[in-house]
Amino acid sequence: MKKTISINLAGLFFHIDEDAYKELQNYLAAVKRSMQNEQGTSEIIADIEARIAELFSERISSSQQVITSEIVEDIIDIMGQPEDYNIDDDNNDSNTRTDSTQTTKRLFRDKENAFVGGVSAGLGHYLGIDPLWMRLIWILLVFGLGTGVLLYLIMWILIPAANTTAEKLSMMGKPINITNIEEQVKEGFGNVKEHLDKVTEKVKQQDFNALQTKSRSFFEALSSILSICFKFFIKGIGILLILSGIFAMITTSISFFTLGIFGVTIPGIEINSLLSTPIIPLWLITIILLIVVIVPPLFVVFLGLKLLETKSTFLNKTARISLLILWGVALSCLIALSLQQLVDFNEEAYITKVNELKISKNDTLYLEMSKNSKYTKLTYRDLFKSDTYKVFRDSDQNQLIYGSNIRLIVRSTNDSLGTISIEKSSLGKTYELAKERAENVQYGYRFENHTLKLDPYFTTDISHKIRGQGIEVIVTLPKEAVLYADKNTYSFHRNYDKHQDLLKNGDEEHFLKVKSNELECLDCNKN
Amino acid sequence: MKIENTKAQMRKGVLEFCILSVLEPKDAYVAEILETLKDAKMLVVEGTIYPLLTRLKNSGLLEYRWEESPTGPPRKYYGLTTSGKLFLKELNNTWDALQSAVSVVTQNQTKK
Repeated sequence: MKKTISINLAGLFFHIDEDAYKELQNYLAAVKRSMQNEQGTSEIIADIEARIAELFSERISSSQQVITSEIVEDIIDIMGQPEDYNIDDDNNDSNTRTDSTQTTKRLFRDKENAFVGGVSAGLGHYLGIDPLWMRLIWILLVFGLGTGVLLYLIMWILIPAANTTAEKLSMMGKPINITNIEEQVKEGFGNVKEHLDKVTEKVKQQDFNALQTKSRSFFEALSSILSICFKFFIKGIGILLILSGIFAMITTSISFFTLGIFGVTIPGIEINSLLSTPIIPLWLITIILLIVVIVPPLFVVFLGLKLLETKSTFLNKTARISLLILWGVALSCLIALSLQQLVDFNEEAYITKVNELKISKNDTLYLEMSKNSKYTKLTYRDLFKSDTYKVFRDSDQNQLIYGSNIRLIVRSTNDSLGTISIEKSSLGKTYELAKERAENVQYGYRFENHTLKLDPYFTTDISHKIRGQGIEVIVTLPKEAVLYADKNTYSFHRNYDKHQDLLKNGDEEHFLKVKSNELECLDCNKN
Repeated sequence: MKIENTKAQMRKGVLEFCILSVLEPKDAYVAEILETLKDAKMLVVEGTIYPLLTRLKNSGLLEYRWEESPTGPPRKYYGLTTSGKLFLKELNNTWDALQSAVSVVTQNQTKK
């Protein structure tokens, strides 16, 4: 089964196979081309078409209603090759018969048939389809979130324009030889002549061309502006990369030297306190860390220089590769070390001590955090900030770790007296080590005159290191007792539902009666 | 230099003369002209004739009129104009002279 096309040849109507149509079209185009220097080409073509129509109608019968490519070939045999139409040409006949040789097509922008940048026309040549389809696709893509515009700009920048005749030929997939180049030039010239011959007939065509030229020149200007902008943009990025790379190198170096390279104390904290017994010396760790942070900025600077297209020999290939390898090794060492550190956080241990709190029903308990004159910063608990732990020196110049990781929970009990339970927790490589750490967490409270004063911090010796130490204080109160919480407890009892804390944030500074599952406010405004 | 090219050139050179001669007794349309020329082996392919006809018409030696055809598209019937007839007479004389000249040259060559 084949698709047929209806054609009008010299006023006669024919059905013709699609491939046969292509063949005929090519033939006529080639004939036209070979007669460029002839006067009245269109008239001759009309005569030829009339003759072909005559020959076609001789071959049409009731059993053969469609023009096949065999018939077309037959007729080409009768009519002769395109060169045969050329009366004056006395040499190079043999050259013109090379049009069957295939050459590789290359993608170019076709500026002659361009509306914007010639991308569609070029793609049309390359894919062998009408550029109109490409244009339609672009328009559709523009509506598809504007991807078309971006894609078009990219292709515009990347695809070169076909400027020379050789480029134009390879754009159309024709072999580049003298004849073809000549034909190309002639065709262009001939087309102009045809247009001039038919000025009156082709007013519309001319308008179309004018529109095309206008739109083309506008977009060509736009394209050169855009490409200049693009270049400036690239250079700008290059400069930015170099500056930021150098800046990063300088700042990291400075921070390394001030923050304690080779074991110098970082203000407030010692690297020692963070690391578990290191398997390699500290200075080596420092160097590894330095390599890990200093190599990337170096490459950033290199990339910036590349973008500026300078011929600098800042980093040659060997240097780049060895730096990259060095960086990889350092990074893996660092990861290994971190994993080794993580082992120290393997196990968790809890120690709980429960004490009686002499609060019976109808008594009032005043709950507050004790004032901390020395360490004012540790009077609240911050769940999200990293300054949960701090290292301070006490009056004897001993270094202590102070933590504010204290959770306060209030619950009710059926017993007649209240209790206070202090749970100390810590992490460690083994359970024993974690438990030992937990035992060494110092935490205190005072209870007198119905007032419970909780320390807002705990301490532990620096030798125990920071290993997730924490305190959970659970105050249980008998039913019908009354609780009055100071507002400074607010941050310490910010709890989730799972902690079953009866004291809600916002209920501070009120007298609250303990019920089995809630606290009843005695002096709140009902509304 | 190829023999085919030379042959074609020789044929093309006298083709205009032949076309005019075919049209001298009566007007004809392209297919008829072609038939005569093909029978005489003057023409191998048809293509060559179309530019020639147009050229002859443009230089005022030929004129044409349209006539309906029973089978195909309307036909162009070509005929000689007055200047065409004069032109042909001139060419006839030239051809005779040329023919005898060529035969004299070629015969002299073979005698040697």
